[in-house]
Amino acid sequence: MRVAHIIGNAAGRRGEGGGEQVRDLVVRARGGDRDAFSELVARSIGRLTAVGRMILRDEYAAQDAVQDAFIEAWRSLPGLRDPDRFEAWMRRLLVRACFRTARHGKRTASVEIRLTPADEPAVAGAERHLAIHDQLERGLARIPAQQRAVVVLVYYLDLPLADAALAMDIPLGTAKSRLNRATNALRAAIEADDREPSRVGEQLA
Amino acid sequence: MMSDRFSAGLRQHLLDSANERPADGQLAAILDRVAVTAQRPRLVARLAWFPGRIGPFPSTAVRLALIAAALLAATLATSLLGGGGAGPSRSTVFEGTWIATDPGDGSRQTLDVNAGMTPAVHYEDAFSTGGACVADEVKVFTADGRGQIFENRLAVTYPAGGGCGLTTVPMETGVLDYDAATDTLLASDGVRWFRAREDGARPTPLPTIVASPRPESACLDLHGGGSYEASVGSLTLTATLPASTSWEGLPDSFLLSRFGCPDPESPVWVEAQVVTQVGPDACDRSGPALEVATAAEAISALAAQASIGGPDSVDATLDGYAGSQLEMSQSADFDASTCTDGVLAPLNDISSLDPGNILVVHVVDVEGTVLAVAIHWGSAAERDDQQLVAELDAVVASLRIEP
Repeated sequence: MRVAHIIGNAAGRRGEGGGEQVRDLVVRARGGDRDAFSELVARSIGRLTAVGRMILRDEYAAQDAVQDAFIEAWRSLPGLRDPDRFEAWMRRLLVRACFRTARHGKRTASVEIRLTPADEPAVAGAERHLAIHDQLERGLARIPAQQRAVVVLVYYLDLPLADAALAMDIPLGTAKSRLNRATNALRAAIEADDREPSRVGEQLA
Repeated sequence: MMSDRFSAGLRQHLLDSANERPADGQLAAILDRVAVTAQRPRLVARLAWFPGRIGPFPSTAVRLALIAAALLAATLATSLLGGGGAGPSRSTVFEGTWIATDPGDGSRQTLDVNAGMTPAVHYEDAFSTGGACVADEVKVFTADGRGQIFENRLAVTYPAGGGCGLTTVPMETGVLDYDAATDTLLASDGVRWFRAREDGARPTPLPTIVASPRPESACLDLHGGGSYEASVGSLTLTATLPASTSWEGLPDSFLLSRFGCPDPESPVWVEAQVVTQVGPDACDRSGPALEVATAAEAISALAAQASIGGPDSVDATLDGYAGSQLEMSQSADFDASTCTDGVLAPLNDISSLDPGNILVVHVVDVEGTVLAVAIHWGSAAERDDQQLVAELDAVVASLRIEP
């Protein structure tokens, strides 16, 4: 997987071009070129902030974590041997920063990430869709940040579980069990939340 | 099927709900911090961050056994290189003229390497587009340096810098690895150098950046012991290292690692820096630092430094230069996350003091320059290893300082 994935790319939804250019930026930044690093930050900040928001579920905590991850990246970049590993490396720094932030409980009491306007007029099928999204959101809010992280890495970034484990600094088996617990908890949360279990079951089953 | 549909629904939900728009001012805030943040030296950065790290050695015996095995392998490799590498007309495989293309502007670069294990080296860039030659009419950039050969690696330092005539700029140490299979040199910046042909013709076309393989490490292998020299500000420090150990060192600054570059699990290293300032707080380094002009002032400022706990100092000398030694430690449960850059750092230019670490710092006056030499112990367990302590003491005692 090339660096281009994380740089402005979301789960493979956009093109994969520019890998060599990014590699060059990483090499230059590794040598102390702040302009090159700024370009890398500009290209990836949106994507990493989205990941931070999903894991921490707090706008300001996510911004803190992303900033910490970038500063750590800048400081430690001379130690990055393989520029092609920048993506995985950056991901790992961000996950670490998120966990650090979550551990310190910085503003994590606030859980306010709205998905879809709740006051939007319901149209055919939209109400059911909205209900499922709300239930998933509540479920995600209830599980621990470490479980949310593996969900985000696997389902949002579309990473293989082994890469997710690497990003979280945990063994593959731990990642598997953590993902299993997370998805079970999400299902349970949805069922507990749902006033009409059969309808949700229809949608997700 | 339930699992697949649940997964698909969850994935779609996350993709739909993701907010990839940075907050207002978020990018600027990060870049502002980057602008005032220094990068770690390469080795320190690798020790602080090492993807795929190996676990700690289970015992000293295992560690020593691994080191012994590594030394044996290194010895064998040395004999093989020595037996087959050098041609009859060259004293080393590096001797001769090497050609490369500047990846920045495509200009021709030449490296002339003389004979011997510490060869004189002349570097030339036929057309410099950097700021060093902006005022020069002739853009030929030249620099003269001195190399050090360690097995199949050549490290070249350029003490007088380089330039096109009007201005001289500092030069970074060049590290080149000899590739016997292709008779080329691979520089640490990824540029491959080709040997100029005997008839004077130069190989064309010249590839520029080589994506892989890249050198695993820019550290100098010092496994066989011997002498290690590096610049520290205007000073030159030389350490004598014992044989049968696995020391490695940075070529471009004085930093020696006891267990080799790529092993951060036993982080015992020695580094040296010139000290000009000491902050009032080792944790909060956002405020103004105190200027220090003597070792006594530096020690006094360190002793008064907040977040360290007033370490005691004792008189000490380095290579006959007088000063003090103090030992600082940080308990393993200390939370450094609120400190500037998330680390406790008594001396900005010396490695940080992470939880559980011990830092033994010698500060001496060297003809008007305040020099700090620090031994960084990763843990109390290492510090209690008397054999290791004796070895580190011997390395520090071997230091020779040239103003």
